[in-house]
Amino acid sequence: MTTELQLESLQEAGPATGRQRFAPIAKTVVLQLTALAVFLGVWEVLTATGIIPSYLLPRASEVLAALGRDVLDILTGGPMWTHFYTTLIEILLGFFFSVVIGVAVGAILSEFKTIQRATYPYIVAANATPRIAFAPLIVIWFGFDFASKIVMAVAVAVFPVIVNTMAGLAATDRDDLRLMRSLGATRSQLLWRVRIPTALPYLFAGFETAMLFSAVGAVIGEFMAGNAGLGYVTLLAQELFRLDDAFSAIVLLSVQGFLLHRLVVVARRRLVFWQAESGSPR
Amino acid sequence: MKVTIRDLGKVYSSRGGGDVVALHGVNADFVSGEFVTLVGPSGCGKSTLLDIVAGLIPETSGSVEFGNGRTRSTGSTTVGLVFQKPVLLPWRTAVENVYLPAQLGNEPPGKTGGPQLRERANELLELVGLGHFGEKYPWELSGGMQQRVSIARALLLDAEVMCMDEPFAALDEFTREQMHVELLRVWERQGFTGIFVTHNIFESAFLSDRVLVMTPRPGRVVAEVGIDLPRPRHKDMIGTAGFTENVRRIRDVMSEHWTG
Repeated sequence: MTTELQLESLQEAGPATGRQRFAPIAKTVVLQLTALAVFLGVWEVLTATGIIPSYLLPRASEVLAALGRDVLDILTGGPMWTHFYTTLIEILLGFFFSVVIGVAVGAILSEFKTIQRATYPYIVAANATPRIAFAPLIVIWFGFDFASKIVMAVAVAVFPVIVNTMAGLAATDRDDLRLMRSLGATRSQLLWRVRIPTALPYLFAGFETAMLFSAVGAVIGEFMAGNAGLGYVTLLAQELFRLDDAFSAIVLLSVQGFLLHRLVVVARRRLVFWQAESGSPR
Repeated sequence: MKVTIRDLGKVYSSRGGGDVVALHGVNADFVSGEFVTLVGPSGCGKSTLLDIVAGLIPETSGSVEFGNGRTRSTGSTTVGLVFQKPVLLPWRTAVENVYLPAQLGNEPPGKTGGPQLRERANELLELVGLGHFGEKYPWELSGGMQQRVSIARALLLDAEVMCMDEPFAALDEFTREQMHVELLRVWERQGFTGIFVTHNIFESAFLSDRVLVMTPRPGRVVAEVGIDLPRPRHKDMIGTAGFTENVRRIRDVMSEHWTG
């Protein structure tokens, strides 16, 4: 998050005219591609010369070749497409249920203080528990298929949504409260006209984390059981000592996660349009 | 609308047991349509007094009575309130912020913000000199413009009493002087009773018909100074002998009753 903000401010620092803006961005892209090329080059040299033995790390060129095959397979609807698609749906559904459950629970906890007082320590404790420890149990409860992956994803991703919903609903500005009170606003008017809009930036911060965590949960679920998904492909490749295929699947997971996270960021910029401009977290 | 304050008191009880007397035995009368300033040092209870008149907090003793017989302001139909900060909602455009009061209360007159409401809000923005800025968001406006929007918002429901709590304190000197003239112009057109809180003696002299001087511990009104400057007031009155004389009289009364 911090790094991303820094990058953006660097890019937006320059004058807004087309050419002048374009130049530094093009420069940055060239720099980044150069860094990647250097990284891959060093990797290739280290593995091709045998300094790092091939049973530990495949050659960069082999990984790229495997990635090329996989991408082609995805684009032509081959078996890799099924794996890619399976993981994608798991992450999206895990995210969706995390958002629905997390916002509901967070809202109930912040509106009903008695419930909050009674349950908050347990929620904190549950959040502190490594949810991965539940993975074997989740397989017993929800089976080897789709459902257990989504439950795993929700188990990991729901907490940032709960916590951020609570923080957001508590973040209403004192002056805003004074204004609304002076205008005779009812409880629900205060909620819809002020508290929910105020909470939106917090909610979206939670959603961004939830999307990334959902991907983690889905892959853990695939490690535990089942026969589909990019996590499963990674595991299978490891068992067959096809390290190039494992790397390729990991790169695909990374690209998938990046694009899904990006989706949330774009949605935030549209819906919480005032956040960047007003310079305050509200 | 006239406002009558009788023997008003406000006590804040702190947890430690020591009560803080914010206001004690305050009496004041506001004639319909006049402009009165409450002036005094920090902690003299002037903002507390304003909050009670605006119905934001309850009094401990005494009463506030309005010309319509009501003793408590409900919603902004009686009293409009302008804060020190503009307090605009950043997800609403200027015009949407102005018609917010019509969307609140038990029976909001303009729940959805129909075209008439929008038109009325735009008229008010016009009145405060922001005719072309209705579709701008608060962060696109300067501090002075934001405060104009908040004044327009306070005018929306035709409040007959306007309570202003140091509304220009955060503005720079030039903008503030400009706002003084504009505020008086709006006041002369709308005819509301203006109750204006400030610690700025120049500001109080320039704006008011009368200045109520308050002192702290306990907060009370100790004196009244009538301002004998002609209306309408102009910027070039500032610095004239007459203006200076009025400022001096407020000063004298202050130092007579209060040693900081």
